[in-house]
Amino acid sequence: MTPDQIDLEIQKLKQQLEQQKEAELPIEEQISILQKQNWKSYKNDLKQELVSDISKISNNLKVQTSFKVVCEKYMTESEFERMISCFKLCSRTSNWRLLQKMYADRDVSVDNELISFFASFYRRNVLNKKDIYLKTTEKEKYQHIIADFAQTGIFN
Amino acid sequence: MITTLQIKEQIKLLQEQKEKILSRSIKEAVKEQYTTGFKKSISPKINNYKTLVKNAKQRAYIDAVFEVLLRKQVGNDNADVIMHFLRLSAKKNDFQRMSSAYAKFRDNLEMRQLIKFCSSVYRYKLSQDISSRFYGNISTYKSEMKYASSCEECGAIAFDIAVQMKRLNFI
Repeated sequence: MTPDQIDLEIQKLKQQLEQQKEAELPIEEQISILQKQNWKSYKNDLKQELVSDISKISNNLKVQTSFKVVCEKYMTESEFERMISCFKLCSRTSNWRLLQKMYADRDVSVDNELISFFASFYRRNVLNKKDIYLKTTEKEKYQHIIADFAQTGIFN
Repeated sequence: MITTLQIKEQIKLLQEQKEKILSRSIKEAVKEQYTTGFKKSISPKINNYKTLVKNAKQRAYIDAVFEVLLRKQVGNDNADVIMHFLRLSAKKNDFQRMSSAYAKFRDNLEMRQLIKFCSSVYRYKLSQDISSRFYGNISTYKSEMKYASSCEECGAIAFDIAVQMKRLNFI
């Protein structure tokens, strides 16, 4: 036997001893020891969950706010809200033909092409549908908007 | 006289300045809106977290009682199996998952009755101590507990655990 193996065996035996000692304790004490151990592990799980939830929320919020800020440069707040609610409806029903509602909306004075551009940008970068591409004509026409999106540091 | 090159350079500089100002304003606007939005969206999460912590404290005690008593009665391996499925069911709010625990003890009636008893006690305790919309129907759990531990043959282990739980004022 190598010294490392001997150390391992000693550790195992020590663990066994501790387990036996715990088993010999009265039930109430065993429960309180286990309760503390459980509480520690549950607390760690909860912490990890909270941290992951917060990071998800913050990432999502960063994307949404950057999109909002850039869009509001080219339309009013109410127009943006109408547009984003239409986008959400389209993504929920996965029917992007509903964008026609937006085109027909008389309260929105934004150019239809611009809305279509924002829609494809939203699908590609906010909803992360990487199979949606921007048209080359759109890319050329709205270079300045793409540059604005790039300035936020969130969208490539 | 200013040369055309100088004019072009000046135009370039001015354009760069303009871009810098625009980029700063966009970034600042994003930052401002992000901080206010973050506070709004995070506060319900934190409130929910506080109740989760409270529930976890109570669950730590319930699980400890179960683990100690089960280990004494049925050994570490069997106790671990039952506890695994109890924890999983509680986490997913779906006690249909206990069917996998029954499947592990297909022909062992005593163990099956014990699982039935533990499942009903666990749900009973969770519905009593931890407010959750998925737990309820306390009278059904009580009845299940009674029937699972009343038979002298197949409910022997469940009966022993029930006695110890009563001694600890757990049920």
